[in-house]
Amino acid sequence: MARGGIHAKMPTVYAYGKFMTATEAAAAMLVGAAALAALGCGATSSSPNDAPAPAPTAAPATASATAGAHAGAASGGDFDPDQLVQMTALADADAIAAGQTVTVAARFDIAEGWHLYWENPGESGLATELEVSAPDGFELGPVRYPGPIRFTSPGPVVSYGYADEVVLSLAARAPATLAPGPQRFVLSGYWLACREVCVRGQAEVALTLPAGPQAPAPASQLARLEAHRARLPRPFSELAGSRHSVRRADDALTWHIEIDGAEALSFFPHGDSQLDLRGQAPAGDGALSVTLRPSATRLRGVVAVGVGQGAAFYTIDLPAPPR
Amino acid sequence: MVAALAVGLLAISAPALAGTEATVGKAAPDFSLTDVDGKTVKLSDYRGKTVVLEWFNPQCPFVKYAHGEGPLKDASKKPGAGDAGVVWLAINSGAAGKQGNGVELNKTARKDWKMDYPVLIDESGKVGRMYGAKTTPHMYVVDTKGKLVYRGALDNAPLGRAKGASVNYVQAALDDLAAGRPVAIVETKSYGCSVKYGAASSALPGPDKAQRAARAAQRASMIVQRSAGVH
Repeated sequence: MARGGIHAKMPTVYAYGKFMTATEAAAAMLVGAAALAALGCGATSSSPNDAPAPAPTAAPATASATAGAHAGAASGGDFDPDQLVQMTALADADAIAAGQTVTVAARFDIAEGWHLYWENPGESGLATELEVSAPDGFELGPVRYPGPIRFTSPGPVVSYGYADEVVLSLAARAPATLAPGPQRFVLSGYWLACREVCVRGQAEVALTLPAGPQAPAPASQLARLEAHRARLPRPFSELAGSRHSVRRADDALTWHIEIDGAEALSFFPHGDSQLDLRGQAPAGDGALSVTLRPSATRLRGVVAVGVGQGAAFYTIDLPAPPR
Repeated sequence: MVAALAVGLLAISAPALAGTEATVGKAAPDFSLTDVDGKTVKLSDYRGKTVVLEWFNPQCPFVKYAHGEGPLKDASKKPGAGDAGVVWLAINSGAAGKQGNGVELNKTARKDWKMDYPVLIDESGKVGRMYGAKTTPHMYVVDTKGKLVYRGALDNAPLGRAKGASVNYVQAALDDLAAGRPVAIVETKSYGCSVKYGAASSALPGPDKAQRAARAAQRASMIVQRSAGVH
């Protein structure tokens, strides 16, 4: 199996503050088995190669969330930890041919009032992660995260993530010679869902595509993937009418980022820029200033243009001028 | 200074300005808090010892993991254990009514997890804000002279899932101090639940105001479209 995503580790069952009893662990395993069994792809009873070629299947997984015994009351009200996030698999094709590339994706439906986290969760939280295992010979690309929105809790504690739903995807390229029969991908999702309180969860969903001439997936899946692609960050340098400059003072590094005709610019940091970030502020029409502490060596992150569903995202990675 | 303040006031998201919160390489701000047994604990009482500060919330999944099954499960194996020169203090900055708040709850958690160090109650969030503590856990190491030498994550393995070889940053800082070396990794990005501060301003949990407005407008338009479809 080719494995992709951030970790190359099989999912484990977590429990909070205690080890799971055998019964609890068995129950959790059954949830996973039920999720796979619901796909009707013979996950437990036959190997992919001897099953008849089925239609592409992707069914919702039952999330296995562990909230612990203390989740209600003082921790923010009543909720069912297993119902906070539903994970579904989707693809942009309903069959895969040798040498061709298919987008394999996981959609996370998030209960109202809760959020999941971006690849940089910000000042609190934990990145949502997707691991994909693919049939032998497939080449898997990196997991792609759409641009986030910002959440502010008292403190203030500022974090970055997603509400309502998010799709994470990766490109899977089939080998030059593809074994006949169904091609089975297993998608493992790991997340931290927070409202005022946080609950971690994980799920595993299988996606089976028959080998054969590639044809588009159903329109509803394509529309979801199109919406996901529209929010994937693109290079800032390829954006027409964009400029940037940087000024060094004794106590700060300030970048001026400008995009002709753009409204509502904001910056989401990546990597070290998270710790270096001192602040950001609008700097006139279509402009934003981002201030980092003077020891910063780069400005790395994503510039968002606009808010809500229409927002677009641009990746920047700019070196700091020498001191 | 005036210019810096102006930037801070205008900022969409401004982490506290340098100088207003604990800064690595500078003196760790002193504080005096009461532990779950009513005893007053002052940071400056421990001058001459190395102090590890651990931001704490007994109901946060990350704290439950660390103490229930992770790196702090066995107090005798935590970083600095067995070294009389190292003192740990846990601080809970959750506000009244928020998750993890309450003396009895913290007392019970301390007992259940066999924590051999004080859990201090900072219900007003004053000390948490002074240190810029964002998450539970959020770790700080103060050297024998009272200087802050590390601030950040406990390790690189949130919920036990390390990316690559696992590193416990607190252990690494203590090892450096014990060997008389400067601390190599002085700052990392912490992870975990947000500290459950009380609202000190208009800041509310959830998307920013502009984002909420945009989403509300979008929902409203979807409802209009749906009703239009019905009629």
